Amino acid sequence: MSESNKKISLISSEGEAFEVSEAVAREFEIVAHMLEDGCSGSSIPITTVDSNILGKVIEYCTKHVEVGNVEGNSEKAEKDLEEFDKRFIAVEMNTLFSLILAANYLNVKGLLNIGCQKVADTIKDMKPEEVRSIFNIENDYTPAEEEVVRKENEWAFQP
Amino acid sequence: MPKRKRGVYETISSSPNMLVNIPHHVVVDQILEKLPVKSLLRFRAVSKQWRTEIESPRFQERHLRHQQKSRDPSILICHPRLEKRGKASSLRSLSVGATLVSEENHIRYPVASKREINVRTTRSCDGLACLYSSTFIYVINPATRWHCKLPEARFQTLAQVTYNRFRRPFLGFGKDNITGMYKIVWLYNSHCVYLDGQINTCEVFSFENNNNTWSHDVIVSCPYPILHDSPVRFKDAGTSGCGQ
Repeated sequence: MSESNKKISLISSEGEAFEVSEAVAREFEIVAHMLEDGCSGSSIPITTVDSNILGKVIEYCTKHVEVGNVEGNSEKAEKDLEEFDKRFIAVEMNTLFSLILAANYLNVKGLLNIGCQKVADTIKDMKPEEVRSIFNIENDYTPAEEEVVRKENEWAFQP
Repeated sequence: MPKRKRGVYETISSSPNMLVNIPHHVVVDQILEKLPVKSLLRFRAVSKQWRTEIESPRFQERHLRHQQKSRDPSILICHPRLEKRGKASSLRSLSVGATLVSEENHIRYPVASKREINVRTTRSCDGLACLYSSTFIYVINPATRWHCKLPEARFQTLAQVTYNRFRRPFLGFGKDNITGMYKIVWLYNSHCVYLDGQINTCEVFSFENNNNTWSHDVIVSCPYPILHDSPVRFKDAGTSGCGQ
């Protein structure tokens, strides 16, 4: 019982400490692995994530742990969680990208999944040039080469 | 355009005028696999690397599995319609989602006569299906609109002479789980097309093989006539017909 009440401090890149329960910290798979490897310290530095993003990721994990702990997970709880996820990722692109990067680094699978789904939904109707600018990709086709690739599936370029 | 942060080990922050770079493998494995096929076909034009990724068997396998798991079902509707200049279109697909039903028009193929527009489809397998009539068989991928015509099977050649004399068998389509090869099967009663010898004849086309021909395997273990009004079913590696 004492295990589940144990508190762990996650330290952001600015040195700010976020105190969370061990269950929430374990949602970060990277932290879960550290704990299993015998890292017994009560504070864990997350030096590559700033306070703003770390705070958001903790908010996400806390909510999911809370809902997971409810006995006999009801349909309503699941719906609430879906609503929470939806609101949670309704942020501007910069923040969304940072959340994905942090979720990838900290290995929070659920957050990585909904973040990437949001990006996929956002870009799915975009033109290739818009996608290039979002992901900072250099166009390495010559105009002639690009024309050939476009011609191969012309219908996919129509709305 | 906003400035970017480069390098994996820099701090992940959300400063408003910085757009971070998401690592390539995250984009491919987490974002691209969630996109519909139409978007992916368009995004082949983003860069050479994207095109290579999207066309790789590894990615296509992942994408297929992801879509099978998470997508709402799609329904392929076969409704032949003769169009101008000897072309017919007969396929539409419906995506039935929680909130919307979208419809798309698909493959057009040349037909010589009105008779040929009477087409059927097989069941689907990994998103592929066969569209066939008495004279042609196409393997189709309705999502990408890719299609490929198969050579005429012996059954089709013979059946054109004996037209309407018997109930037409259904074409079987499935995957050999051992070799991963897609197989197309005609299984019919030999006497329908005046073939002597065995009661049943089975013709198999192994898709993705090199010789591009049908093989004629005679079924020796099945002494019963085939019921032509039920489709051929596939069992793991082999096929089993619907006998009496």
